[in-house]
Amino acid sequence: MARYIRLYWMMWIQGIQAQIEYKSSFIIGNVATILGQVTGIALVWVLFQKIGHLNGWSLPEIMLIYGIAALPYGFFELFFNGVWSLNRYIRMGDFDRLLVRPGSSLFFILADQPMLHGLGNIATGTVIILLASRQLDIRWDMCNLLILGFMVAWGTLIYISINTITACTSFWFVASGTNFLYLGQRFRDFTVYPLDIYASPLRILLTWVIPFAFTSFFPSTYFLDRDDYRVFVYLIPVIAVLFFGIASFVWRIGVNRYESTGS
Amino acid sequence: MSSSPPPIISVRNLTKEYKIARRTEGFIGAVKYLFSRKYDTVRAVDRVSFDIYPGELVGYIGKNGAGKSTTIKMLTGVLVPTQGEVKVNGIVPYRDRTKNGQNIGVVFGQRTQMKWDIPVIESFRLMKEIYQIPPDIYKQNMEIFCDVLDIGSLLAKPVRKLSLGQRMKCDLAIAFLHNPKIIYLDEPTIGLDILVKENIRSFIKTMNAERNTTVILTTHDLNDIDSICQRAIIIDSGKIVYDGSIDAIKARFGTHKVLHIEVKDNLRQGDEVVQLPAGVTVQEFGEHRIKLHLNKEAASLAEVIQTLIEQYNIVDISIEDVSIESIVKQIYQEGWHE
Ligand SMILES: Nc1ncnc2c1ncn2[C@@H]1O[C@H](COP(=O)(O)OP(=O)(O)OP(=O)(O)O)[C@@H](O)[C@H]1O
Ligand SMILES: [Mg+2]
Repeated sequence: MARYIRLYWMMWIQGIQAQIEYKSSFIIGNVATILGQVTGIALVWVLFQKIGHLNGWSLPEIMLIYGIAALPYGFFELFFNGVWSLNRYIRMGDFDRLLVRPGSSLFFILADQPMLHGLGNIATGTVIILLASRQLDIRWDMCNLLILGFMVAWGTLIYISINTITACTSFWFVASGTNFLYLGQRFRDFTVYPLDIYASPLRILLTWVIPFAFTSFFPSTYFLDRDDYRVFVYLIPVIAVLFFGIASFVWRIGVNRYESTGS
Repeated sequence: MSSSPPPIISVRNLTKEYKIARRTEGFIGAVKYLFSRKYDTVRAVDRVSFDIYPGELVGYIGKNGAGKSTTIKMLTGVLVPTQGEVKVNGIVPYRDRTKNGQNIGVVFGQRTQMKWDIPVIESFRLMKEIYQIPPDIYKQNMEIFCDVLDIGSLLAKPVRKLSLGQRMKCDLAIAFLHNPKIIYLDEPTIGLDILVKENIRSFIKTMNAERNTTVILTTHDLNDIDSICQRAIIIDSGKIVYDGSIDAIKARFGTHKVLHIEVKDNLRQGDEVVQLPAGVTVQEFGEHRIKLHLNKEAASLAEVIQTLIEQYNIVDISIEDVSIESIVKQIYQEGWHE
């Protein structure tokens, strides 16, 4: 285990090193991410000037969900974004190189392309959480911080799992695999709002099929003392492990289908 | 080889078929393609069997598209065979890629194991971590590589700034870094100049002599095979057409040459009745060019050239070895008769 962490760290540093070679792309990426987050939350604020509350949720409550949603996604981007390059690896036949190394090919692909602009998401998420907490009177003592840390970690694992599963479609549909990744990501947009504002098909989808609700909404309900959602809070690790299991399984099937390229 | 140790690579009836979705042209075709599950199958490797023993240097040769890379990919565990068995050092490669990976080193000529934007040395350090190479072995190997391959001055450069030859030398070193038992080299000399080629050949031979590393190599350069390998496996359309010693091939084809002659005369079809000795065949005749194939054992080179000089106004002559492609073609067409 220690060996894998060390190895991962090394691959990550090298990925970052490669990215910093292109300084402007790093700065633009982060600025764009932060701007995106800020306009997102500004829209919510404008909306609330008109309506006062959304299905019983107040502005600071929604801000909390919004902020918590940004954290696991930011960590995913920062550390495990490599599944986005899977399609390129398969299309170019470069995946060959990862299969001849000792160690899991999924492990090698995940560390392939860390995105420093994940930092932008983590930073804005943190600021939004802090702003919301002031009004909601949430204290970030050691205990709460620890719980939040766990929730973010499980949330990151959920992102890894879902994005791995959607990226694996490239093993079957080389030409269009990335579209499934994009499609999966679109559902992330729904998770910055409370789950109960959606119709039940979408709710079920976001809970059991593409379980992004476990990365933002359910964790938030814990800090908002909404005991009616407590069961789902306990389910966070279960869902994360279950979906990671599914992702590993799909990965293994996909890898054994891999046909490389002619040259 | 009856008293030798058991084979390190053992392959039986190994077969790989690629499925290619059938596709017709135009818009309707594209739509059909989306929904159809109709496939054409291409049998790239067809019931191939061989054993390779520890320390052997084997050249795996054949024309473009013969199935060389596909075989290598099955041996390395990249591809799952359609049929047949493959065992490498007691392991079925595609079933246990992690264990197999520790035993092998691979160079795919057109790809690099190194990360494009960062200095070469970083990739070596990463491999040290991936293969858990003990520091003393790492140090010792780096010294050998700097010495034999002369890569010391390249280590600080980012990979994208290396020339093709420099990159290939680094990739070769990386493949050998963890002292693998078996090395697979798929066209390691493609596009390289003669000096780098020779450097690489002597490096491979050195490593084989010192560590008894088993080497399997594909190439289109007969000289690679000639200088490195003792044994050749020739494959054509996925089937093995020859498996035996290089010496036997050389004894048979080493005396064959190809002559390119450029002349001032305007050659016309039907003029080609020059009195050439037996053992010479005309392969091309036209414009200002003649191409001849001759077997030195049957015909004297001097005599042939003499005959040509008497008849034509010669501008240029060059003499080449027969290419591996035409040897393969000849063996394939005529079979191998001892
Ligand atoms: N990924 C693939 N999908 C479909 N067909 C493939 C694939 N890879 C190879 N082929 C086909 O299989 C056959 C063998 O190809 P392979 O790459 O093994 O040949 P090769 O001997 O390595 O040739 P070369 O000398 O040109 O590298 C060819 O007909 C090729 O078109
Ligand atoms: Mg090839």
